[in-house]
Amino acid sequence: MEIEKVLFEDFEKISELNNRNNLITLNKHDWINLWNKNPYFNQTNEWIIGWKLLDKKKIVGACLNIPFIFELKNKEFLAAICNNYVIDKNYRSFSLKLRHLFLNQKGIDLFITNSANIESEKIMEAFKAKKISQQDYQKRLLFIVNKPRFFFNFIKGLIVKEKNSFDRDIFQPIKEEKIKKNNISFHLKENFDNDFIQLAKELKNFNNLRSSKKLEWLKWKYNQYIEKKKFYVIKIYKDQNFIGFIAMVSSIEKKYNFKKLSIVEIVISDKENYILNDTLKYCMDFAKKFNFDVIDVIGYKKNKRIEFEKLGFIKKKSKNFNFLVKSTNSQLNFELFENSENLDLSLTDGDNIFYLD
Amino acid sequence: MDIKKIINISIDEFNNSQNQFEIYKKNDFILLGEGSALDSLAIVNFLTKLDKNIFKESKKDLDLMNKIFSRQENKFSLLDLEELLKNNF
Repeated sequence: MEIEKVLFEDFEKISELNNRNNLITLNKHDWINLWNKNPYFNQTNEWIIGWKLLDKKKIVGACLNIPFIFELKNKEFLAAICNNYVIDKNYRSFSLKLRHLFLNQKGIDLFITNSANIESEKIMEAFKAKKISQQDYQKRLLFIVNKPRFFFNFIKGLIVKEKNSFDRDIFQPIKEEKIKKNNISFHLKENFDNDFIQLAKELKNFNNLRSSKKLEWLKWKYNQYIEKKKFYVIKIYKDQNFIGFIAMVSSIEKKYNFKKLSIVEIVISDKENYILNDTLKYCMDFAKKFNFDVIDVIGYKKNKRIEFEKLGFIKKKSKNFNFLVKSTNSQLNFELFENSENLDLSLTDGDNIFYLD
Repeated sequence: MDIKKIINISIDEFNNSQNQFEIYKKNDFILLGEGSALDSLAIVNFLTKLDKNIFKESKKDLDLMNKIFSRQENKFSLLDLEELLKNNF
């Protein structure tokens, strides 16, 4: 058995490994772009894209490694995000070595997975990673937009075991629009624009740990959804000043054939939190107008979650959204493991964000 | 308590906690690598128990997982474990 660094040329073999283990693989273009368009990867020659376990020449295990930048109070922190951690059944005793290599890279502040199942969670914890303290992280918030269709498809999904294959109007084009409410206005768009450069500068001194909101990072992270026209962003203006945004991704939940709208970014300063209620109402109107069945929200801090619940979102416990972090930077330990009410992490802060589709 | 005794107590605890895997108290029993009868979760469970028992006896946090996996060798037996712990205990 040998362990080697993953190369871009390994895509097909890793894809086969994933197929054998019922794991989703991104298409080759999106997979390569996880690194090729990554703003940090492009600045360095040293980043390892992952490790592969080889039996003779066959790839029987892999653990991929994606760089993220996190920000807190004007400082930047380098994070390694674990992705595509999979081992063929007969080689599972070697999986720990791959995890060890990932968790022992030098010069990294945070090692993260936000897609851990119970087994990966135990392994991460054995290597001294911990679950984040964020309140209710594992309770997703759901809003059922179209109740009759939701319950019909839900019951059908329980009875019909094979995956639904009929198409929904997922590629429905939207018309960019501006909605004004008193001194607040919302501008619906399908991509980020240069206004986000200034916003990131203004929000630099943010009090919550979060992955970078700089334009280049946002464009990289949502590139696959933007290209497929599955991405929407609501720019929030107050007195004509751009003060924040909500980003959303549309997808089809395959088992039940639900048309799902995931709220993946809520970026607004705490002092403007009162605007959130109106912004979320606008999201709900958008979901109704474009025939979504359900709005799905994972993560976010307490004061944001309260706004969702006020509007009728319901909590649902989920097993597969364990957010585990190994921190080598003591400055971040309080934020991650003690600041339960104010920690504001969500899907966007780990590899889960790449697999909404 | 000597380290061998702590290992044996941890093996008993592991063997009694489930019935899918069994660790035999033999020096050449392979814990990790080719020929190991344990899967990743079984190894984690055993080493976590051992880590706790060592901490109970010595108040030392050895970070066993990282110590073991920092080694370059492909195989890791009970004897290797005992020797590694003797040097760190």
